[in-house]
Parts: sequence; structure tokens; C-alpha cells
Amino acid sequence: MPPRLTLHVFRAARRLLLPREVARVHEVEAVQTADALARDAARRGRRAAFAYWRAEFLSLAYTAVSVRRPDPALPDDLVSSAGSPLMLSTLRHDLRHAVRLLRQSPGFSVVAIATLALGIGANAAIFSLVHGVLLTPLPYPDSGRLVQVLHAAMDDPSALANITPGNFYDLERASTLRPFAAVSATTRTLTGRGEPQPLAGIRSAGSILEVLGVPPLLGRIPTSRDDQPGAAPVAVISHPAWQRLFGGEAAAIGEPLVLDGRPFTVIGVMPAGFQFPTPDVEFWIPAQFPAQLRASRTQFMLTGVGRLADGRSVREADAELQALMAPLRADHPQANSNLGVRVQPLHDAVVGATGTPLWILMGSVACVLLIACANLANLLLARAVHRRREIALRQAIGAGRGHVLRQLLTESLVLGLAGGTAGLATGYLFLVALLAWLPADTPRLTDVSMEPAVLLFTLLVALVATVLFGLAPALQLSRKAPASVLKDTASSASARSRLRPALVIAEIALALVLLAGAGLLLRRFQALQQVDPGFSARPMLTFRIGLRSTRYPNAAARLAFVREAIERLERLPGVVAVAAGSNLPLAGRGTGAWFNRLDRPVPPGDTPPAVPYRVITPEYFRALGIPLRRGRLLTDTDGLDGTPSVVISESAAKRFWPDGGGRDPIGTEIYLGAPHDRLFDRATVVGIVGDVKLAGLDSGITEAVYGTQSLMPWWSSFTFLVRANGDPELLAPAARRHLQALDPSLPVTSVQTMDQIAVSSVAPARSSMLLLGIFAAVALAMAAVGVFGVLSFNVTRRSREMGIRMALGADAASLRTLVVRDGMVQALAGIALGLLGAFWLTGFMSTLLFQVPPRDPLTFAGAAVVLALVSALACYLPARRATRVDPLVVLRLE
Amino acid sequence: MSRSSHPSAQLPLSVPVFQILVALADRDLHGYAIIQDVAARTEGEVQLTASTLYAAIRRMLEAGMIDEVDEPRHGVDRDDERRRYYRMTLYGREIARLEAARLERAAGMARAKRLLPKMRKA
Repeated sequence: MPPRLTLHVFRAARRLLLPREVARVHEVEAVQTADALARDAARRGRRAAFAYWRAEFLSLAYTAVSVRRPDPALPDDLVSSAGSPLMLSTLRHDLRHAVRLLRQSPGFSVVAIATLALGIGANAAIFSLVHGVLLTPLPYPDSGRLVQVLHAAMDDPSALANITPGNFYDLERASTLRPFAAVSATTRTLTGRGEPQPLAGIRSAGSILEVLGVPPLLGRIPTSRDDQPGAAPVAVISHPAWQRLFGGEAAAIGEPLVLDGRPFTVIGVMPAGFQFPTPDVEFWIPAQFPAQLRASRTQFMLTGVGRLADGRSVREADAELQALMAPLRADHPQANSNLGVRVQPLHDAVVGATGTPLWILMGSVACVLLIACANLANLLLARAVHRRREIALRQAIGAGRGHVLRQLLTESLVLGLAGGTAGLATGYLFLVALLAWLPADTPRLTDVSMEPAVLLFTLLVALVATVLFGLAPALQLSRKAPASVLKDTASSASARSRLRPALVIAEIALALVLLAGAGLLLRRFQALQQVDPGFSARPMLTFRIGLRSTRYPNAAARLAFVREAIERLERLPGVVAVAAGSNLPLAGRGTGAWFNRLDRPVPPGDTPPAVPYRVITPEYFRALGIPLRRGRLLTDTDGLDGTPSVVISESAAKRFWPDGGGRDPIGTEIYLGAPHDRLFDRATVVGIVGDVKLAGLDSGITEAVYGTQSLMPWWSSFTFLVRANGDPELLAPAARRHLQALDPSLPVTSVQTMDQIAVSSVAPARSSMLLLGIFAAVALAMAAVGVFGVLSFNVTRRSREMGIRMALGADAASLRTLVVRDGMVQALAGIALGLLGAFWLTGFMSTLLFQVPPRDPLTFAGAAVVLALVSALACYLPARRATRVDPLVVLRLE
Repeated sequence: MSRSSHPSAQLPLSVPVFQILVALADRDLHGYAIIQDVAARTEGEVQLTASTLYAAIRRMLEAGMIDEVDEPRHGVDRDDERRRYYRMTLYGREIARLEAARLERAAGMARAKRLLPKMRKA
């Protein structure tokens, strides 16, 4: 909670809890002192701040009690002037009575507490999630001034691309961004400190650590001077890496860190808890690009991160960088034509697409809470009516109205506290489960924890709900003269309230909205499951290998290794095919390059289109089951010293050889890359294969160019695919052994089956579907309980009427119909209202949905039917009870 | 607590009250400074909250152990004029002294029974 707000809450709490004079006399100072103490604590961190406020509020509560305790040394008149009616002894008495009452009606208490617990718990957990991921600022000093810079197409600002080193070093002159850096991710093999292991790291042009502004725990961070070609190679490591590799010793500074065979000197260690951009990154090194790469305008590899200079805004930075791009477009027409920039707050870039699903979840738990409150209100109202006689009786024998109200208030508070505590516990457990279960690459998951704001909010909701709904009817009831209530035998007018049916209708409407939402996500998930990925997935084992150390200094060594590895793996039992490729399907767009037809060169001023490419071994297509459409597949001789050839995907063929555009793709020569900086000089298209979903089942990226390793021998990291009969995971240990026999220092990473990859690519869709489904189920259950409760109550209230009807000859069936109709009218009204609401609200979900229209009639109808059936069941049980009434008993009882 | 009673009738003092008196033994302080002083002297063992502090101050004022001093301070700090300073009264000083003596006797008993090490002669 923002500090100012907590201070106001403190002041209000003092006034509320302490007797008036006591509260007033030192109010200004106490608040000032609390403010100063809170600031001191905040300087020590969030946990310290929370601990301080907890202690402060607890001691305030204690003071509130002790200030009222009668002091034996004080004369009586002082007691009454300092004290208030809320004497300690009566409070204890009221509390005991309240607890006893709640214990006497366990059904009511359990349902009320459980309702509160579910509603509050779900909200506490989801709000903590939303708060941590979306609302908390990034964990860097003054993080609101951090921005991300990317290239954007001038004619389509939503088409973004990485920055090239050449452009970056020119844009670095900007005065609105001080400092300004650009980063790219890298994985290097660490040797010389125990087993060889892969480390994830960041290369930074400029100094990213300077931009972020977090001071190192030890040593120093690199500056722009360290990023010059020829400067000494240095590295900063993360805290966990420091602990693991150097035992947490200060002597780590100055030690060498050997990455891919090159030694880097450790110059600094970042503090515990620091991460950029993700928790798995363990080192940060200056890019130190060689001169040619430093000037490159065609390697789109960097993401810009800068800090706004004092007093400058995002818009000013955007404008300045756009202005700086203009001469760059003129000077490098082919590379930079149509390129602009886009500057956005770093927070938005990090959070990305998780915003919409999280807000939808927040909306749905809010609905659940509303339903819970409606149920609670119904419960408490029914109970108040039920107890009207008891209340009247107590008033008749002398309890003052204030006393009665105070007691009812205490009961409500006890219920609220119990429900709130249960809600917190539920919420905490739910949050723990959520964090364990959400996909690990959800952004900012480590920033999520149960917030103090959440704790206060939930307690507040619990207390307000119970006091409001428990006290209001009681107030009304206690206003009547006791005698009239005691005399009142028939169902009194006060029991007939419009409020209760209205609450039920509202509950059902909310439940329908949730069911519709969950149904839509279910349909989306089903649609995803049915998408054809373009290859036959299973069963297949995959793992990654990087050939970058000094053992593989040239193409020949890499080619030899891959060939040898494939031969060995093919000999494993049960193996049907083995291949290697630069990327796997479904894993992402991967690296792309400019596509150029030799017979139709792109005009000098235009930028060629970029297309993803893959470096593969010839068995790749067979191993994955990618069908050949035309021409032939690749062989080992299709490399640089044979017949340089490539294979393209169907959609690439369609795009670059549109119908009526002339030649057949097969036989055309192409190259990839910039004219002066080609991936290979030229190659002939020899075959067209079926489209494969490169970046996930719901993405449309399917264009690809495939070339063998012998065509692009500079490529150094591969994913191996081993297709087998039987369970591919069983092959993993043997595969690892064979590879390590070839090179013991080679780390084998990302070992997973193709099945696992396919499952994790739909994991986000599945998570949101399941979560929303759970909330919808809870809402449905609560709405059913609500309907059931109201109808039961009505039946009890009308039991005399039922008795009379039966005595006059009505049969059981007609009585049942009476009750059911009563309930179903409410249910149907709720469903109708809910459909309207769902119609409006699900429009907000359209960005999430894939191949399912947001107003899908099938889903809505299904939700309505489910709700109607459940309501009918909830009506039926009380209806049956109505017919069990013995008319004689009922009539005699009155 | 009323001023008319003998100082020893106020004993034993609660920890907050005693520490506040000790803080005020050699100079007048305002609320926040008292909290800082106590925390520093007890090395963090006694951390008073604002609520505890002002509850104790209220009682000590009523009992006459301390007085409010309203004049703004000259010299040393540029303090906010609205801050109220507190000053120990003679009555309060006597009570503090008696409590300290009581604590010393208790420590002496512990020392005699070897619960505490003997005091080294300077």
C-alpha cells in the first residue's frame, strides 16, 4: 500500500479505536513519528516496512484495550472521563456469546465461513499475481524512466525488429537517453570450474548495467570504455553464479571466467535478487564487436534499453530517435529503408501479452467474490429473520437496543474475522499452487508474493461484508416493538423482501458470465489441439548442443562431430531416424535473413523481405515427418563443395513466386543475407516441403528456407532429434553417454521429448483455461447454493401455507411445481441477464481467442443450459421437502 | 498513576516507561528522538512504536513523571516547531533512580549466585 495511504489509515484507526480525548491529544505527533519510523523502515526494504506497520497496528490495538482497563489507582470519575462504553469485561462477554452462537449453528457458520474463504482466497491470490506481474514497478532504481528501443517499419509501426549494431552506435548520440545500451542474449559453455556447463548471459553494446543503475555488490560494472574492440574482456556475474562458482569469496574479483574457451576477467558481482532480463541470466559482458560487426547495418540482433535523461519523456525520446534515423535511412538505403524506431516503457515490453489474460482473471475472481457476498448476504438475512423472535425476547426482558446491536455487531465481526482468516489461508495456499503451476517463462513470476495490501484488503472485505449484511437487517428488526414481533405468528411482512430474489438473480447472472468465459477458453484450447503442426511429432527425443569451444575451431571439425554423433545415435536400439537442425518446430521464429532471388534482384533502395532459415542435416525432413511436395529433398552433397541447394516451404514458395509471377521455384537460384554479406553465395531451390508451424500452434509463421550444414558450415549450435519406437526418454542416458564419449566436455542441454515441447507450447492457453474453469465451477457451485438456500428458506417460511393447501386437497406434484416455478423464474431471469452481460464482456477477450469468435452462440447456449440444469436441481430438493410437510403438524404448531 | 503517590509506589516500571525516562535523563527530546535513542542504546532490543510511545507518554504525563516543553529549540537542530519536547521532572528522576537501583540489586543477586560474571575491578 502506498505509504501516504497507510498513514491515513493509521490516523483513522487511532481515532476509531482510542477514546476521543486520548486519540486527539497526541494525534499530530503520533502520526508524524509513525511517518518517520515508516520511512526508516522503508529504507531497509519492503519486508522491514511491512514488519514495522504490523508492529505499529498491533501496539495500537493493544493500547486501545489497555487504555480502557480500569486503573485501580485512579478515582472513578477519571475512569469514566477517559473511558468509553466499550468496557473490557462486556467485550469479553459478547465475544464468548458470539462464538457460542456460531458453534451452535455449525451448518450456517461453516457455509458462511467457507463462502467467504473461497471468495476472498481467490481474490487474494489473483490480486497478488496481478500486482506482482503488472502493477509492481521493475526492480531497478527509478524504473519508470527505463525504455526499450526497437526498429519499427515506417509503414507498419506494429512490425518490430531488433536493432543493428551500426544503427545503434549512431543512435547512441541521442541526448534524451542517458545512458543507452543494446543487448543480445548468448549462451556460452563455462569450463575450468568443475563440470563444463552452459551459462546464459547477456552481451551489451554500451553498458546495460549502467543503464539499469543497480550498484554491484562487489567490484565494478563495465562502462562504455569496456565495449571498445581490443579492450580487455571482462565479465560481471550474478549472485547465484558467484556463490556456485566461486564459493561466495571476495577473491572472485580478478579471477578468470572461461567462456567458450575465452577467458574473461571477473570485475564485479551483482547483489542477490538482481536479475536482467530473466532470473536465469548469470553473466553480463561488453559486446566488444569486431570492427566489421560493429558497423553492420544488416545484423538485426540487438534490443535497445535506455534511461530517459532528466526531465525527458518517452515521447521526446521517440521523436529524437526518429529524427536520428532519417539520415541513416539516406546513408544506408538498402538496409535502413522503411526503418524507423519505437520507444516504449521497459515495463510494458517485459510484461508483454500477459496483461489481458491476467486482467480477465482478476475480473473473474471479482465476480466470484460478488457471488460470495451475495450468498453471505442471503445467509445473514435469513438468519436475522430466523432470530427475530430471540431478539425481541431479549429486548422484552430488558436488554437495551444498544446492547443488542452491540452483540449482533460482535457476532458479525467474529464471523468476518473467521472468514477473513480462512480466506487468507486459502489465498496463500492458492497462490503457492499457482506459482508452482504456471509456466516457468511467465514474466516476473519471481516478483509475486502475498502483498500486505492484499492482506488488509481481504480483512476489510470480510469485515465490511459481514457487518453490513449482518447488522443492517438486525437494525431494522430491533427497531420494532418487541411485543408485536412476539405476537406475530404468521410469516411476517419483514420476511418478505425483494432483496433476496434480486441477489439470487444477480448471482446467477455472474455465474453465467464466468461459465461463458470459461467455455470460450475451452473451445480455444480444443481448437489449438486440432491444429496441424506440419510434422508428425512423436515419439522423438531432442536435445541441444553448442559447438563453440576451442575444440571446434572450424567448419570441418563441426561437420565431423555432427556426422559422427548422428552415426553413433543411429546405432542405438529402437532408433528409426536421427537428424540435427538449428531450431525445432514450435520453438520460435528463430533466426531470419533477407531472401533474394538471383533472377529478380531487389531494387537497390528497397529492403529485401526477411524469412526464417534453418540449418539441417539431410535426414531432418524424414525424422520429423515433414512431407515433400515437389522436387527432391537435400543430401550431403548439397553443400558448398558440391551442388549448393536449398529446400523451401510451401508458403515461402507462394510468397516469393506468386501465381502468374513466371518461373517455377524449382531450379531458381537464390541467396540469403545482404548482397555484400551473404550467408552463402548462391544456391538452387531443389524442393518444396509442407509448411511447419515454426513459432507455436496459433502463430502463422510457416515460411522457411532449409539448407544443409555443409552449405552454412559456420553454424554452431544444433538441436538433435532422435526418432524412436517406444519411449524416447529411455534413450536419453544412452544418447548422452555416446555423445560424451565423443567429447566429454560437451554439455548436453534441453533434453526433452517432442511431446513435451508440443505440450509446453500450449501451456499458457491451458493454464488460463483451467484457472477460469475453476473459478467458473466455484461460481456455479456458489450460485447453486444460493438458489438452494433461498428456496429452502421460502419453503420453511411458507410451510403453514403448504399445510393448508395440502389439507384442502392439493397434491404433492402441484406443490412441488409451485416451489420449482418460484425458483426457476429467478434462475431464468438471472440467465437472461447473464447472457446480456456475457455478450458485452466477452468482447474484451477477443485478443485471447483463436479460431473462436468471442460471441460464440454454441458456448453461450451451453453455459445457459448448464446453469439452468444446476438451478433446477437446486430447486428440486427444497420442493421435495415442501411436500413432506404434515399438514396437521404445521397447523397445530402455529 | 497519580502524582500524589510516593515514587516507590510506581515500581516496578514497564520497559518502555523506564527506557523513556533514561532517554530523558540528560536532555529534553521529542517523540521520534526518544524512539531513536532507546533503539540505539539497547542496540535494537527495544523498538518502540508510535502507539506504545504516546500511550506511555500519556500515562507518564498524568503521573507527573515528565512534562511537556513547548518552546522551540535554539541552536543544534533545525527542528520542526510543532514538535513537542518532553522533560523529566524531579519526581520522574526519583522514580527512574529507584528503578535503576532495583535493577542493580537484582543484578547483584544474580551475580552472587553466579548467574552473571563478577564485575571486574577497573
